[in-house]
Amino acid sequence: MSAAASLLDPYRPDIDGPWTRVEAAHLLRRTLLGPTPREVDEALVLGPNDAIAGLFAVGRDGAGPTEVDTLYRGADSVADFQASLVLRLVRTSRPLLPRILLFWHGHFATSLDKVGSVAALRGQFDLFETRGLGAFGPLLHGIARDPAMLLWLDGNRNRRRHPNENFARELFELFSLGIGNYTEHDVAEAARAFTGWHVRDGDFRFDPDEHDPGRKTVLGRTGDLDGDDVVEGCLAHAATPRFLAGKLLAAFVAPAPSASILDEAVALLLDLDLDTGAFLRRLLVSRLFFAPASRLCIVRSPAELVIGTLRCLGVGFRAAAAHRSMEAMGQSLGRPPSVKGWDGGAAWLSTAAVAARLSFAAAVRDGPRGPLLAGEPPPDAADALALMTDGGTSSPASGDPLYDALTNPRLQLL
Amino acid sequence: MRSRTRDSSFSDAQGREVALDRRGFLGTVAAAVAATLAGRRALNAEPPSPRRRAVVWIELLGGNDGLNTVVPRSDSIYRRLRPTLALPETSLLPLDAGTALHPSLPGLRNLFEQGSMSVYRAIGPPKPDRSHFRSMAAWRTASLDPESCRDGWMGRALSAVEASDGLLPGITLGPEVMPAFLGARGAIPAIEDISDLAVRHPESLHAAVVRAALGRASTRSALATSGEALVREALGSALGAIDRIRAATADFRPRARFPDSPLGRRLRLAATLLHAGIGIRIVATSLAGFDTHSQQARVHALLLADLDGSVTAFVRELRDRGLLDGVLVVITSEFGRRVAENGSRGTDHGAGGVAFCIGGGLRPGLAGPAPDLRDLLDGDVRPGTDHRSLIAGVARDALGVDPAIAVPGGIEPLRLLAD
Repeated sequence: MSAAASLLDPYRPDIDGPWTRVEAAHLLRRTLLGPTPREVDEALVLGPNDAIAGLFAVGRDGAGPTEVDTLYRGADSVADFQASLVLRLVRTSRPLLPRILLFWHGHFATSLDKVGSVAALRGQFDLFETRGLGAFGPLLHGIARDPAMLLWLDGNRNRRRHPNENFARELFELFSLGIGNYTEHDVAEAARAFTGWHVRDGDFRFDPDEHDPGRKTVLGRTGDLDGDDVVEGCLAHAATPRFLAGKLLAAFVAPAPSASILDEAVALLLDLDLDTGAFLRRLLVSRLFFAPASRLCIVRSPAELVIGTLRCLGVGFRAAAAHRSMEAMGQSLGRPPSVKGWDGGAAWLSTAAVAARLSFAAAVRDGPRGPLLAGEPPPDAADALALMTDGGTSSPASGDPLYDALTNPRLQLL
Repeated sequence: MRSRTRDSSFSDAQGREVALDRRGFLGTVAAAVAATLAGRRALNAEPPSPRRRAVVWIELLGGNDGLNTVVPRSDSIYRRLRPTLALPETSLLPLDAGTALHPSLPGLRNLFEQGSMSVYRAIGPPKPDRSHFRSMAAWRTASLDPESCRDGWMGRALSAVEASDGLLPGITLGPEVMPAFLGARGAIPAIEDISDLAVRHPESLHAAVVRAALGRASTRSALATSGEALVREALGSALGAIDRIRAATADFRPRARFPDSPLGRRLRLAATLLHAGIGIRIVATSLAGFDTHSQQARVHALLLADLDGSVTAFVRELRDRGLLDGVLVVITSEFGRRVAENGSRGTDHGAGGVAFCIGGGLRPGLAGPAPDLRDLLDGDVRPGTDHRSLIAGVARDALGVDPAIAVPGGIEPLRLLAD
């Protein structure tokens, strides 16, 4: 007697539904942002399980640093950092890197406007690259000691006699538990536990003289707690898997999951010991993921639109201009509007942002004559973009197939 | 030149900004809209009634320090709890015997003396919450239980307003639509500047986009998703709004000198839009940076100076054009800050804060209870004026709608207008 079928069970081609270019393109859009026709053909042959295995495996072995890596590592101005990041995210050999990095950048939203150090934010992004597809514990512990985060949320100002609540509050509200699952008292006591967690010369340093070693009670645990104990308290709290599962479902499967789906996802994430990589790997081959209602239902962020389009077309581009396009649409990488990150969803489609999205379409069509591209879009560009949109519904036509593909409303969706 | 990587260029990182193509939109559509507008303006030429004002709502994001904005200057507790942040008596701009404005607010002090401003101290949700996002939600929903609210007070109020021509009842000047507009009928655009609305592409193609975007059901395939409907709606309403705004604002030249700051530019745009007479009833905008946990004094002074210069220029512009009596400016923040300064020469999240109302024909002066620093709420200013009563007052006195629509469950509105 088997348990009742779950929408989180693996999708079985030809039993639960078809496995055609439509399903393969859906899987690759959600993972690569902008698959090429050849990649879709490959996934079609592999089937969902082998395709996802490949996506999680490819590029994990370090070849030597590429030219793009060198540019990215060497950037020291904000503009160079942003431009080289865009280049890196389009050209990376690690298929999941863009989505994982952008997801955690939105979750642990940290801005250069206050951090002031490109090197520090690059260090935080390295943390996302190395720990973003694994157990949540090491990632959260890493964030609590991350120099960029400590500069962002006033770690250096969190001193024994003058606790600063900024990091403690956001750790609970935005990074792990979600609002409503802790008290003001928890925030004040957690701030004390993190006193003395400082940054010196760009590195984390624990300053024992500024640490308050006294008794504290945080999330129901009492003792001489330090920051690690508070992070452990967050990881052990029942609210954390629910908060995380909801965010991952919304970002990778479909917004606003039903209560029963969320309950199942929470159980799965707990079963996987909060391993978000293993969790995603299950979500991305689930029956829920391939349900028609889960397709093209997420509004692409500006980064997801620009990176996906450029990757899909495989055309040369000017990275600084590509980042300026994103900024005009409302997303400046490394500079989220607040610690809450970008709101996403319909909020991406304000009037000015829509104008910027159409200007991006026009810039792609203009090819090397415009500010964005360094070469002509490939001859099959319109067909390649059709994989981004499950076919064309933009009508009436302008007489220009590429422009029609670029202004297909579905291109704004993931 | 930097090295090139494949055929993608990084070398333009410091390159000159590529100029936007500011060619007009669909010339014919714009002209048609302009003609319609001119006709409507002529029809609606009667003076604004006192209860049909446009509201310009300015949120000071991050939690403005109310006690260093409207200062209880002779309160010894204020000076004791703020050893480094208490403002020196001699620098303050007095409002009355015990109260004064921050030295960065000379323009607001003039408005106060002219009887064009009312000041609410200790205003906020009666059950304060030190979370930015919850407090903002309490303001934007006008509710004590924002999580149960699916829409915002501006959205509800606008749905009840009979817009003069239904063109653009509300607009956000900023990167994203203000959540208080949730629930409004029709599109609420969000723009930073008229030039934001320059779409770079040939006009013949623009026409195709508009038609495609507006194509809706007839051109949608059976596979259309709700996401697709959302995008089509956004494309259609955005392009429509763009054409209308550009047509109506093409010939505006400001008379006042607006600061070249984000808020200065936004209020200049607000003046442009109000002058255009396209039926806007609520303009929502914001000034960010008030979350002053550390080294507050300098940054707070700069922020308030920006606010003062921008609002003063805006009021001058409207007064000069005879529009001030048709406008109510409201300045709020999600919460005030802790009364005692922290160890970083800053202040942490608090409760009751400050709000200003500015316009012609107001009931001016200091209104509502003053902060009582002998009776704090967990170290914070105890809210003495319910934020919902201000919202209810704005709904009734400026928008002319039933305050119970703006505030769920209803509340006694503040009286904002002179008798």
